[in-house]
Amino acid sequence: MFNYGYYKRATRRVNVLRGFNGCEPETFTRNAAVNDVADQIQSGDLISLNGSGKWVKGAAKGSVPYIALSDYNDTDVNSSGLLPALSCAGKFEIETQAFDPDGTYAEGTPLGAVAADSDPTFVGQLTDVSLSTATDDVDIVGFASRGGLTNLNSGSGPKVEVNAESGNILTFSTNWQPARTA
Amino acid sequence: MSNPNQDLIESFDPVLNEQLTDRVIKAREGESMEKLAAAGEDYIRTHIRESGFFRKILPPKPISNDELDRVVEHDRPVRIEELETNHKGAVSLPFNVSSDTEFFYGPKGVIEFHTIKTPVFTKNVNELRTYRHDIKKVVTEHILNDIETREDANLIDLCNLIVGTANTADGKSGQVQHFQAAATGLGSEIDGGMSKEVYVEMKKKLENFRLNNGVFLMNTKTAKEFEKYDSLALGDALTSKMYKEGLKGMGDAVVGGVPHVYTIKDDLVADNVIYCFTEPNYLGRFYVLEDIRLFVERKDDQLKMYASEIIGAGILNVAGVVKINLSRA
Repeated sequence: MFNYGYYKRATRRVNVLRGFNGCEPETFTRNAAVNDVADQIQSGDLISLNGSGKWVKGAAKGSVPYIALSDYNDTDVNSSGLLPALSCAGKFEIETQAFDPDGTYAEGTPLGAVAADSDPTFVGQLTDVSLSTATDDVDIVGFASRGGLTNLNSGSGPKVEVNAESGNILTFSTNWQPARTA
Repeated sequence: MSNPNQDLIESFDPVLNEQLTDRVIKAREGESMEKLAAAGEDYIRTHIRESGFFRKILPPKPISNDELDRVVEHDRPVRIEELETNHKGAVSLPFNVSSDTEFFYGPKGVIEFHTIKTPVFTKNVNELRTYRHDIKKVVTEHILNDIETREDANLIDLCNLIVGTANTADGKSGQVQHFQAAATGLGSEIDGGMSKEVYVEMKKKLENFRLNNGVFLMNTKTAKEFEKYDSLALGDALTSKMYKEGLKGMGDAVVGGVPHVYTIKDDLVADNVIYCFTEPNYLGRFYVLEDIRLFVERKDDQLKMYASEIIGAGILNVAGVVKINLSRA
């Protein structure tokens, strides 16, 4: 059988619409080792540092949330031993594939991390949080922007996202606000 | 009467390998197909044979060792092809505002190589003594056709895999790539046989993917539907010409601006089925790592002949092929 198609990721790599300045020091990035490769951190996942200063998926209450820029198995990550991420305490507007598909993401919807005790499949995703609890019990990671959910490949004509099977993304602005209650 | 196989029977010359290989390659290039056909005068043929159609859809390119790529998993050669990326379009903005950042990545696909070989044709040379036709001509023609038919079969298998189930969005592009008229024919723009109206609808399918029509492939029986077009469709002159000459009367087999390839291989391309391919550079790659070679060997009184080639091909842009079935489901 001849070959067909080409290599595609399952989901899109993270894209930073606003605030990204590459390698410049004013871009609020952080590099750290991955705690456990079994976590399989993907570009766009919500991650945080554990007590050992290593990346884990998701963000517990009070932990600064980050958005992974690379995959855990990217060659430069493997080679350097460090995975770069953008701090949600910085000001970025981000398109990510890592979101709870059952959530509702209208413009301005506050977003939090899927709880660490949830199904491990969903840890590392963003989800919608209600305003009544957002400022009390859970951290706010940011707010949905540009309408929230978009399927880049829903229009007629050629697909916009040609490197991944799915063109579904959640757009949001980072704005970390820790929960008031411990 | 001299035996045309004398060189095989008595004075086998190793140079014959090269001569025969050269003959096959020239035959593939069309130079001596007439000569091969003329070989039929020595014996009665049982059916028509035909060269391959894959090479007319995706022209092969030779590839050298330097152009091959390596992978760490194994020693086998591959070729990594880069594909065009895509991105969000330009935006209109007021003054003093910058546009968004967009990271871009180039998709890449792999072409893997394999061998196509004929059976090892084995013959006791003593049995050749009574042959009155040139066995070399026959074998030369057959191996060429057999190898190219294998290429064609690989292509059709691949196309059927890519286009998926009829009228279902399970084509490898994620959209419908296999169209068939409903059992009732109702609500289907491709129902009604190969009418002018249906033909125009067929031509639109690849354009839905923003691709040009490159080549349409159908079998010769399906192609004969063109002969049913009346003078209102074709004009008096062409209708008259086709009435006399059949499909040859059409000339260069271009219909509606689209080159057509007709094949007698109805076991590969069924009646009323048309494969629409986009232009080669939007479709994929077909590499020839080692062109067809004929090996002839004699040991004692045993003569063995076989041929092989090493190729790699792929439809990397899976939206580049669409299948139309004009038969009702």
